[in-house]
Amino acid sequence: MIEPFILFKVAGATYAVRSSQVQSIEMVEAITPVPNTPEFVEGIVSLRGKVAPVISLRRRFNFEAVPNDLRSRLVVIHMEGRTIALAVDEAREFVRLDTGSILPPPETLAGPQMRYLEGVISQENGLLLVIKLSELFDIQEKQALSEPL
Amino acid sequence: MTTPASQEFLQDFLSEVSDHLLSIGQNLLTLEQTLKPGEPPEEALQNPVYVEDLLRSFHTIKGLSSMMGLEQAAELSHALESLLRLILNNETELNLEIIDHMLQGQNLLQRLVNTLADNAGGDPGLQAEMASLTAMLRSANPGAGRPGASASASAPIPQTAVRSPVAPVPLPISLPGALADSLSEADRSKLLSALWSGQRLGLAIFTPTPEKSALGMNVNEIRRRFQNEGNLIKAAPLISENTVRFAFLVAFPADFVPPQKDEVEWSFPTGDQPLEIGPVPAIPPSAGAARPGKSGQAGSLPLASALPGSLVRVDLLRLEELVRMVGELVVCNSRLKELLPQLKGAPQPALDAFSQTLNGLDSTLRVLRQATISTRMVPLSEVFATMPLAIRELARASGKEVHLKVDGENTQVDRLLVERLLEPLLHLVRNAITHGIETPDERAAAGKPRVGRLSISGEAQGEWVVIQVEDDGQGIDTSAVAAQARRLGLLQEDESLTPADLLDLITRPGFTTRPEASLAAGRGIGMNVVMRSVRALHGNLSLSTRPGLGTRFTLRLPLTLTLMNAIVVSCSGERYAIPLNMVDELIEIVPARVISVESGELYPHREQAVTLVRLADLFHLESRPPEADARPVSSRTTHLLYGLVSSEGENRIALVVDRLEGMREVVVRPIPDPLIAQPAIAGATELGDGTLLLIVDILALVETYRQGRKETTP
Repeated sequence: MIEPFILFKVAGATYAVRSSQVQSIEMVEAITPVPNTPEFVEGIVSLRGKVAPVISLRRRFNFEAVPNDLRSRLVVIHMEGRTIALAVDEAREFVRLDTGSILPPPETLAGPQMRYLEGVISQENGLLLVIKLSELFDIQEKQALSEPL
Repeated sequence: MTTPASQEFLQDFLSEVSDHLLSIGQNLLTLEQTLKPGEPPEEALQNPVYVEDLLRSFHTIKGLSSMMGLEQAAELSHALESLLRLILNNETELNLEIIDHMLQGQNLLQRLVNTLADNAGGDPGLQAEMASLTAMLRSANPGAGRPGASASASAPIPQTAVRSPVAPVPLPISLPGALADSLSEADRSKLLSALWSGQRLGLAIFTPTPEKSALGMNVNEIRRRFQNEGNLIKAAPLISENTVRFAFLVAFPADFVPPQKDEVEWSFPTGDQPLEIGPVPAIPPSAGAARPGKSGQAGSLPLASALPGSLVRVDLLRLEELVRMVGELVVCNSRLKELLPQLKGAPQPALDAFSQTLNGLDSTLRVLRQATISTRMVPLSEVFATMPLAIRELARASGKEVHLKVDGENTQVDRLLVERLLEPLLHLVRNAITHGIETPDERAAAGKPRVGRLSISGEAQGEWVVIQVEDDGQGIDTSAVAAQARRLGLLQEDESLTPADLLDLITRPGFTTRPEASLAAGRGIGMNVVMRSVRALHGNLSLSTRPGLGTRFTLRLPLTLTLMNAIVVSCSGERYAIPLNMVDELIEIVPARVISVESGELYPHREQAVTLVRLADLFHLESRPPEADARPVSSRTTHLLYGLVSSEGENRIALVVDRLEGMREVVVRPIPDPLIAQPAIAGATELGDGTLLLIVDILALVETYRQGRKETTP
């Protein structure tokens, strides 16, 4: 089945997320830090009057954090009644992909982000990592809840 | 709209129970996931928070159901609650089968709610199904009969009061036998609340004849008519010899008068006057009590007497959005005013016109703001009014006599507040009657009047509403609380109990000094629910109790939840907004006068020692001196700090920040996401330029700090 996806980059790797789950893509403006939250929470932003948390995917995936720059974007996800902005290095492309070509992630790939992968798609210019958002949301919530304030 | 009070009462019950059922369903499904093969079952045990949540929900449903006279539902929730307690105490292991039973219970309760909600004929077999599940839960879990785990097996509660399926409350009116017999629990509740809210109860008897039928007058037609004209409580056939007649019991507005010539025969069980329902010896109708009946309607609910056509129902969410938008306008306006000085170079006439327009806008906005906020305001009587019925049930069930006094029911508060107050108030009232007020004999022996006094009052104080629930019972047995706390290792042997500790202990989930729990109270859940509700509303709870004389709980809650005045402060380069109503005064702190003690820092102020709490520490901010401070770096320890003094009970606390930046009106935007939600943050507010400022709830912050210190210092 052909589905539209949004592509974004974090620490050199390209990730894909179903565009049906993406509410919008925003420039990074002032993010207000929130104390006593998990380290991967950068803070909150206002999205058309609604307050949403910003998750740094770099920190989430244990990459070195870098300051946001002009190419940084917020990929705003709306799912299960929650709105969460994912801070990524850049996000531009909108592509149509055949979901039939999604392969399970290779065993040799390691790293904490493996948990959040639905699979990979091989392309001429490299691998696309397809994000499994439900897992991302779910685990984040459990961790956040179990963390002491 | 024609019968607001009784409908609202039932509606409150239904929406409250529905919310709990929803969260029960979610929690059960979450637990079920963790138990499915592939996931380690320990996960569930690591998250007793789900089980605690379930416990609280069933506990609340139990309370609400017995208040509404829905015995079977109360029994079922009680059995489920007992089961959960066993799981929480590790006496029974959680498994998929148990989850299944609980989902089944949730489903039955949901069906009950649906039946009550659409006012339909009912769900035959539902009662029986609830009874059989209840019985099954009890027999499948013998542990549920152990003392302390459940009351249902040993039943220390008066059987007649809670368990008997017939006539839980004697009806204060007489009805034809067949009709009275056919009344279900829900019907009885509807009937009682209609009576009690001042409606006129009419009994219409319709005798069908072929002639009437030819004219289109049949039972269905009549039923439809009464559904339109009033609130049809019950329709039942009356069969005698060889005639069938139909009785319709209908609640009408107080001023209802039947047509001179009518197709039905009328009688009015309460007489021509809309009733003084006399309830109950236990609750003599006190002057000014919260009964939105004849007199209350005129005073506290002026709109209810207006023409039906002049009222519009508005979705609360839309109203909330409206208030927010008006708030945003207010914020924009103040930003415009801030920008005005920057237009200095502009021609004077243009500048004058501009500032005149701005002033006009300012005053219009003020009126608009007030008007919008007032659309959300409702009198406290909306929640107080449900208390007499609950108290009557509780008093009867526990064999006590209670006189209720209600004050300040006309105090206007935010609609949302009223909705969220029902649950904590019910718990407080239940505690007062079950634990506080003694039996008539005990009271007589102690030289007190046999009838206990319970008073509920509300009062607006500045931007707060203060609600008190006070009884003249035996007071809290602080030595029993201390003993139990020592037994649980929460209090050292040599430590004595401070008033703050007492409140802490009794609001702990599961803390109870009672060996046996009853249907009404005693499982140590209720006070935890109260504390959580108050916290969620960014208010605070305090307690005073005197042995033999009684107990008083005080809830302090913000009057409105969307628009407030806040002080903007800065600390380590970050800015925060602090609700003005949480601040008693602002003081300057001279570092040299700070006294360090083992447990922290104190500061002398007005001949008192104020505890200093540093915002930078609580928020783990890197401490750095304010940039604008021109003093040399070497005097870093001597620069002035500012304290926002807030009193929490008797303790005065100063929250220490680097700088005060000014006061502004803010629109509170909630932060619902669990990733960032925390009690100390009441929300965020948008500044004119799109950036967000966190709104800090000082009281919750200090509470978190106090808890944290208690846990780290052995």
